[in-house]
Amino acid sequence: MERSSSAPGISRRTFLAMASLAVGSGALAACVPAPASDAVSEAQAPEVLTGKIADIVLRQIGTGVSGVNEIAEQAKADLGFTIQMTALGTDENNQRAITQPGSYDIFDGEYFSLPLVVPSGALQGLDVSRIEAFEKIAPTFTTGKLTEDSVIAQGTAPHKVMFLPERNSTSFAEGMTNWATLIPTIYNADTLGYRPDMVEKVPTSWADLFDPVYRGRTAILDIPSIGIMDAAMVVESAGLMEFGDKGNMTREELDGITDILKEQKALGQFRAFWKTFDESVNLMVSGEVVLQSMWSPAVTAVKAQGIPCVYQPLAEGYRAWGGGIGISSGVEGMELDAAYDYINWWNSGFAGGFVGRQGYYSAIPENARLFMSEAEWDFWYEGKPASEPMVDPFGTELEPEGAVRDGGSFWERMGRVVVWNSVMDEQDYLVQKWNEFIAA
Amino acid sequence: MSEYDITLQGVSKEYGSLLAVDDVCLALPRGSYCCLLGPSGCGKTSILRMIAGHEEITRGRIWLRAEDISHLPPAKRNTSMMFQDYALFPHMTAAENIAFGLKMRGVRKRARLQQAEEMLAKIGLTEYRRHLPAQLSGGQRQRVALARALITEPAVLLLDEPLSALDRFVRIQLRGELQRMQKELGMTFIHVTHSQEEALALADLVVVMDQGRIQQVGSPQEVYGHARTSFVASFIGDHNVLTGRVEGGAGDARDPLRLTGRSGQTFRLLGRIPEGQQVEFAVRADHAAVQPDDADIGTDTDLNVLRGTAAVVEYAGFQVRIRVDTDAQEHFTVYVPEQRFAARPVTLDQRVKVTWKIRDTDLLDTEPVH
Amino acid sequence: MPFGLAAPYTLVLIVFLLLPVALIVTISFWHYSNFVMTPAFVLDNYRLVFSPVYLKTYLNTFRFAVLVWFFALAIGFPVAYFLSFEIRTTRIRMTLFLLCTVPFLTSNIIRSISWIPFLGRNGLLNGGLLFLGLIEEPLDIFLFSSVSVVISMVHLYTLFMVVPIFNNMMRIDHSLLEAARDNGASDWGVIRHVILPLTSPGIMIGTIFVLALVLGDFATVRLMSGGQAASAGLAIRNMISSTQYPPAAANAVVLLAVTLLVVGGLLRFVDVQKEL
Repeated sequence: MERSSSAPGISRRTFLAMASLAVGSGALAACVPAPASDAVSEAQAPEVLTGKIADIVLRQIGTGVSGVNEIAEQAKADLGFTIQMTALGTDENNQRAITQPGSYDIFDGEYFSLPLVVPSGALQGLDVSRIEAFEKIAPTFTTGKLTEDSVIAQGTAPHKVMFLPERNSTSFAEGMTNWATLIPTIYNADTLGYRPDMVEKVPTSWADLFDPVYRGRTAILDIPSIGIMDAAMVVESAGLMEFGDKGNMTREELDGITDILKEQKALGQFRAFWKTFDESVNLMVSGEVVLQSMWSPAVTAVKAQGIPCVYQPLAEGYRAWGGGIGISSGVEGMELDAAYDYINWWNSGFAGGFVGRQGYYSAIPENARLFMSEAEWDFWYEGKPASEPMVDPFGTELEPEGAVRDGGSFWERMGRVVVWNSVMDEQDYLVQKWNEFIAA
Repeated sequence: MSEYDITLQGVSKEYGSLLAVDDVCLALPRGSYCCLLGPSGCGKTSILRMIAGHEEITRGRIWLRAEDISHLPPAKRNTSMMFQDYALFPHMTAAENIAFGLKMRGVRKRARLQQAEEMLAKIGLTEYRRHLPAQLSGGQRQRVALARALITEPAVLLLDEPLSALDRFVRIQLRGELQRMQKELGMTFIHVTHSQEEALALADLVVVMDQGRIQQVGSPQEVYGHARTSFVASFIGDHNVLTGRVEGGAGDARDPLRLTGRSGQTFRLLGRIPEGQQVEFAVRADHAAVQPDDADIGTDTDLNVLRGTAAVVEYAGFQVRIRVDTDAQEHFTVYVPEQRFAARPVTLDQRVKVTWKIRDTDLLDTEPVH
Repeated sequence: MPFGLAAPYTLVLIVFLLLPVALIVTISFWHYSNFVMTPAFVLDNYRLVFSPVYLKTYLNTFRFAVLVWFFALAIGFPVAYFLSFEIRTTRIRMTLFLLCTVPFLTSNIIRSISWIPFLGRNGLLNGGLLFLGLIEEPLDIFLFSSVSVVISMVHLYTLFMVVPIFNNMMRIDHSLLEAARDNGASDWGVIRHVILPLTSPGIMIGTIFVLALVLGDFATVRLMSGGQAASAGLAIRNMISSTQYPPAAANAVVLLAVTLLVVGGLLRFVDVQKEL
């Protein structure tokens, strides 16, 4: 990898890998660099220890967004141990995390899963002092405010579930502590996607999802906790209802929104409800649906098939989600050290640059920038016109020269997040109401 | 009105390239018991099934009385068939099986069960009305099948090997019942069988078939007494078939035909055949006598004589079966009544002569009749 | 020794069937709130299952089951009839039968998905109807509707109806059909009075297969309705997804009971021992 050799971050990484390889026991704190000479001199039996490091396999479960083989391969090259990735759906990922903590070492999940996962005690608190450059992590995750004057968004904003009082706590801390649940990796702001070639009216507001001009051509997500959020954005912007907190609705609010959804379903407003990434892509590509809630890479996937698709910024702002990685409660010793190394590696730049070229944001943008070209950084983070065609890490051209990212820069997009993917207090009731909506 | 119940006019049946029935003509008088007799594959079952309508005819026509039924569906033919394994509906009781034909004709339930009840009484199975076929014996099933076939009062009853699935004792018993029923009903029965014994016992008219053709049609007496072809003679059994070359003779009683057999012996028989031709003739086993070669048979010029060795001497109750082998390796079987054998016994390997009357020598056709 | 032969499978059944079912039944009575379940004996979960929403879901599931059953029978019976009675040679019969099973070499999901391009707005069906002038604009009703769910399930499950019926029909002596015709039965009469009663065990077994499959289905319903239709299995899946295990367990217990009741009811009409 050309980029690796020239990037300043990697030499440090390589060094760290070497150091932990040499010490082996894990006595080395990740944030305290040890002189290289010490590390070498302390190596009593490098061959044996090398074998041990190479023998470490960290089993990662994740939703596939960040569970990319290329990242695992680079991690192995940089760190010396193996990351074994299992891609699961959001639901399966949560289930596995909660019910079989012994079956994985690394949990790669979304923040809004934490209210489900943390009470089970399946994850161990992460020692913030062992996390490199923790202070550089986008403040969205630590304080909830991207900038000083940002308004804290509704829903399960990551900072609300970011910290634990103690290492083994099963409930969240109020403010910042030394124990974190997940270390953020990637995140994004979601909105509606539409087919510019198949609509006569350009959507400008979430309310347009209920506009009769799109009747029978719209879709929303059939994952209750996310779907309800999109629905809430629509209902609120259409002036049909107001919510105290869209990310944490009351029973009355759930009743109200379900009635509205049932009404729209009866009118034939929806073509389908999708549950997986592929479904959303296929609905759009086939033209069965022309306006729907989508994930950013799904829009990219539609465009990659030569079908025009716009990820439209809307007047009300974005619904955001964030993902991170944590460590299973049972991981200890050398594996635990390796897990910390892996977490630190994630935000050291390579992975951030990799997902950045897919349109996701990295928790430490400045590190990701080290692994992106000037043109890539300008396009994906700065919202400037592409000075050259944008190519994703797999070689597919996503955007031609001169294109501008839908919604603009990182700050414009992440600064306009109005709600985060959530798990509500009334989650049980939500699922019940959602089933009622589907059955209607 | 036709005096025949069934008439076949040049009927043929082909299965692909196989000619199963070859241009058959046959007329069955009303109220007759007809047996189609022959080995398996001779076409007898095909004929029956063509009459029933379960098989399309390839060529020819079939008449039931004055009606051309060649292409009518089975149900429209006024015939009824009793199947080889009876084909009783396994899910219906005996009574329901019997009433099935009426049900298909739209007879109301009460009426049809009433009639079935009468049938059950007639065949002596009243107590078995609620039994399923699987719960009945072979003979009982046969009777139910018969009742089912008869309840719609067809003009002709077709029976496909109706007795072959039964053991000997039941077979003989049911044979009698079939015969009695046919006489009582005065209905034409067409009965397919490969058993000559069955055919002779039951039939008014025996139709012997081979290779898709009729070999002989006649009363049991005619067929048994005067087999027309060597096939009939050997299939009916109890016949000896010999060959010879015509040497001369006018062929009447005063000047019979003279033939030379394979072993050089001279035979005489009645019939008009040109000199030099090779012919076959048959002699019934019970029409011949056996005596030691040196026995005096007088100067009776009315007898044919065949010399040979007693190769088999079997006691068979009221008669003794003797097989005589000639020097030319021809076999000739003679049935000798027990008492006559006792009076003039023959021992194994003894040189013997077989004698029979000229008029008991049946000249056989070389071509089958049509 | 005879017990020894049965022991491995008995063990498998105990470990992988009886124990899990017992566990599900147990959990169905547990208390549950806010993502945490605690051992208890409460009927709340069952109260939820018997609420109007889920009763409606069950009704919808039965609607699918009955429709799919009907079409599977209406299509499967003639197919079995054709194979058994119209085809004369065993070789062609077995060839055609194997042909019927070819689609089963691919997964259920793929066979479902392959209907989507056919039934869609720009699909072959709409295209064909437009071409024939039967409709003026594409119809949405074919896809992401009950129609597409039923079509896909019928496609998936008809073979389960064909096989037992075919098996039954192959055992019917053809002379029975001739005997029926001889006694005056029409073609329909032969089917109605002879073939149908004699294949009713096969129909029952096929019915059990189809009903059990449809009642438990969630993937096809979700996929083919575009998420717009509900079924009992789908409701269970949604609950599991949200880690609502106790109500999901209660739902599973009810679904299991309902399925067993249906199957048990049908088994009263058929002597399975005789059919094996």
